Amino acid sequence: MDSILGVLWNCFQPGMLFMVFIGVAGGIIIGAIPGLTPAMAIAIMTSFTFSMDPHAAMALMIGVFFGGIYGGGIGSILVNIPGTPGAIMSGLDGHPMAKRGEAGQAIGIATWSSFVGGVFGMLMLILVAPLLSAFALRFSSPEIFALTIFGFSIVCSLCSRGGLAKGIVSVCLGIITCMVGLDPVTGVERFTFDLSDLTSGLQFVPVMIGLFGLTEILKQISLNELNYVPQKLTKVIPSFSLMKRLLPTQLRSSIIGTLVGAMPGAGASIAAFLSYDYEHRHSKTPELFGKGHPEGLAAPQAADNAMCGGAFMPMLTLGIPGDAVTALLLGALILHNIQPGPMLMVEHPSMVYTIYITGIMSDVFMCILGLFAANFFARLISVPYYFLFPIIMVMCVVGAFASGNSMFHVYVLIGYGILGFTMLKLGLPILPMVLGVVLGPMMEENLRTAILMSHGEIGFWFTRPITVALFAISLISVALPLVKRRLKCKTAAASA
Amino acid sequence: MKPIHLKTWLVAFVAAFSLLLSVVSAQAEYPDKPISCLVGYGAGGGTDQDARAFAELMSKELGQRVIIVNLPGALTANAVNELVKAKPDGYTLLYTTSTISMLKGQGISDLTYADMQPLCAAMRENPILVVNKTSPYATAKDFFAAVKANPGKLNMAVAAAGGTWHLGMIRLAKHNDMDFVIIPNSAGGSGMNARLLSGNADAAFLAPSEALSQVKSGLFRVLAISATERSSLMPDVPTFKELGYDLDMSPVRGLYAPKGLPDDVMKKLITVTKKIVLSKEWKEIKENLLSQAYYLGPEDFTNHLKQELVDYTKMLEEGGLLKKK
Repeated sequence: MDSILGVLWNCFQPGMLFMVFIGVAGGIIIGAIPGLTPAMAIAIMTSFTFSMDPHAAMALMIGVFFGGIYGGGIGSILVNIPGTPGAIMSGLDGHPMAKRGEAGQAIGIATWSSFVGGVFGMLMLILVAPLLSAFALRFSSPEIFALTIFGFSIVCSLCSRGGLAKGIVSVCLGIITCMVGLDPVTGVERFTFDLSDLTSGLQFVPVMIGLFGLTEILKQISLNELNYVPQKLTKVIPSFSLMKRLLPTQLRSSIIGTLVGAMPGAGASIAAFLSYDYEHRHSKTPELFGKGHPEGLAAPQAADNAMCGGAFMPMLTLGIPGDAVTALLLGALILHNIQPGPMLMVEHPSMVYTIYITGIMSDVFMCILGLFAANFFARLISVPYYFLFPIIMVMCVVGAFASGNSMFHVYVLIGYGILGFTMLKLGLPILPMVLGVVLGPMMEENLRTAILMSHGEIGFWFTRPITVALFAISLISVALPLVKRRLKCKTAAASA
Repeated sequence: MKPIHLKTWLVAFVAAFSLLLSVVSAQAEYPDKPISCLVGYGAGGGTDQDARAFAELMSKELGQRVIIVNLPGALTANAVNELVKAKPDGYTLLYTTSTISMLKGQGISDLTYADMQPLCAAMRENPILVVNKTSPYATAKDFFAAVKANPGKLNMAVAAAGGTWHLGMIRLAKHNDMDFVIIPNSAGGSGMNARLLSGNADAAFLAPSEALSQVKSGLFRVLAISATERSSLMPDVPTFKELGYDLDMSPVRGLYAPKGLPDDVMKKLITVTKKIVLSKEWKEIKENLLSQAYYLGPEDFTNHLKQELVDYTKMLEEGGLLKKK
């Protein structure tokens, strides 16, 4: 069954179809629940799949991976609590839509964009994997450091109009959060106050659930009247004209997602940040972003799912995983004595074809399941708040606990929930802080590693074209709006 | 007197039966319920996957599930604390690495092997020195000559900062008056491999399982292995000792129990673990990962750990990470 037709036949056997279907359905649920990530589920599954046929095991795990990445967006849209770290940006425009009573439509857009992104990523994997993974490898420490700097420049477009200072304060709070724990380069303890729990640092999942979930609940409770939003439960499938309108956004975001996915050491959250930022900056109507603009939801969802295909590229061609989940899949293949890497296509072509086919199959199942379940999910937030909030609260606490099997993570959740609420009252935006938490550790480790690599020579930075280009783009993107505003003021003054 | 209802009889019968059962089970042979095996890392890492494979084989031998419980954080100290606190009845075990000998030196926990009952060593992993296949260094001699000729110019990738490999390289550099730049990677294997493949590091010191596909497919060339003798899996690769460098670290992963196990439980666990570690299945699983099944009984393992604690504390001191209290 080493020919592609043989594998195709095998993949359409009921058993394999069932594996992919169960994987996707389970993945969507795991992804939608805050604290449970597809990476966690796949890690636990590897030992159970040890006795399975490796192709069936792969089909199941790919289903969970793709379903989970998509499912993360559902929590963001419905209650503004991202189910997975990659879904942080999906709530920015998805949640306002739900607040308008368009949760079903938002999930429809998210599903369709995820489908387009996912299929795009898989097609790129099939067509240009060796080329792209060779390019992605050129992103070493200096380049990734430059990329994080570019990522931080997003704050400028997120908090325009006088809010920039507050945005920067918020980013710094996020970076401070990441300072706790072992130094990434020397291994010395920092800010651990002799608490052994702090040596591993503050984990991202409880911090994120605290800042989004608990803060949201506290905010809702503090409002005196809770306004109930009736959900329009019609036509969740985006209209043809909307599909046509979103396609350019989805394709641009898919390209960003695939590229970021192929870089070892970057992740889904960065793909979402960058694609949202790109769409926001280059939109003709930037003022609509953040208020329930379909493009703002389509971009991160398409990028997240395109990231999946991208992450497989270095794994299949070089044996280097592109993200945390492909690292686990690589381990699972090795347990079956299959070595991912340059010899995989020669030694086990059937495995490569299985990954291609089940990947695309997962996207199709995800699209069908998502569109069917959209109204069901939308109805969930029509549940009265006095039922809904306690349930979400329980899920947040369980999710934080499950992320490390420890009560310490629950205390972190509560701490950051209170911090988030305080920030809200002070008018400090929360999203930049999360940006700091995600990009901070990457920025620090890659900067310090790059300095080690440079042997202390400043000229080193200029020998790397990608780094220089990224720094230049960041500089332009920060300076351009300021220059534009200055010019506008001048012309206004001249004409007056 | 009211006639006794059938339901009451039934309840009484079930109660009596379950009481009987519980008496029987109290005397039943160990194990009569699932066993938890603690792991100090999150699901998916090297130690975790290793422990899961071991637990799978143990479940088969014991006829009871051995369930992996991940307690990540504090460099495995959380899991170690939990084990020491657990009841010594054989239903809570710990699978961990040589990190156990570093906790005290790093000031994270005062617990050492001496606070536990080491049961067996299960495997050992000999780290290797690798270069990209396009690298000009064909042998370890070439590489070390280049290091001597260009002090402070060559980059050496290692895994987590402050970890065993990092400390091993600090020690190699110090003892042999060598000067190379050590670049740690929190992403572990994938980060190092990407760095080596893209030419951003000149060599890497890593566990074979961290670069399995690259080593097996020939993308990486193995120059030297840190072990007391050559590995049967890579017979052409010289050890550091042969090359004249004092480096033979080979961290051991094994199984631990709380102190004070009942004799019958201890006996059972010794027989079972010995059988598994020496089994063909375990050997195969390990060799697929280019590491070795390695058995040490409780006494030998304890002696090994005693020596390891001394060695690692010294290494931490040399690396400047020792915390004095």
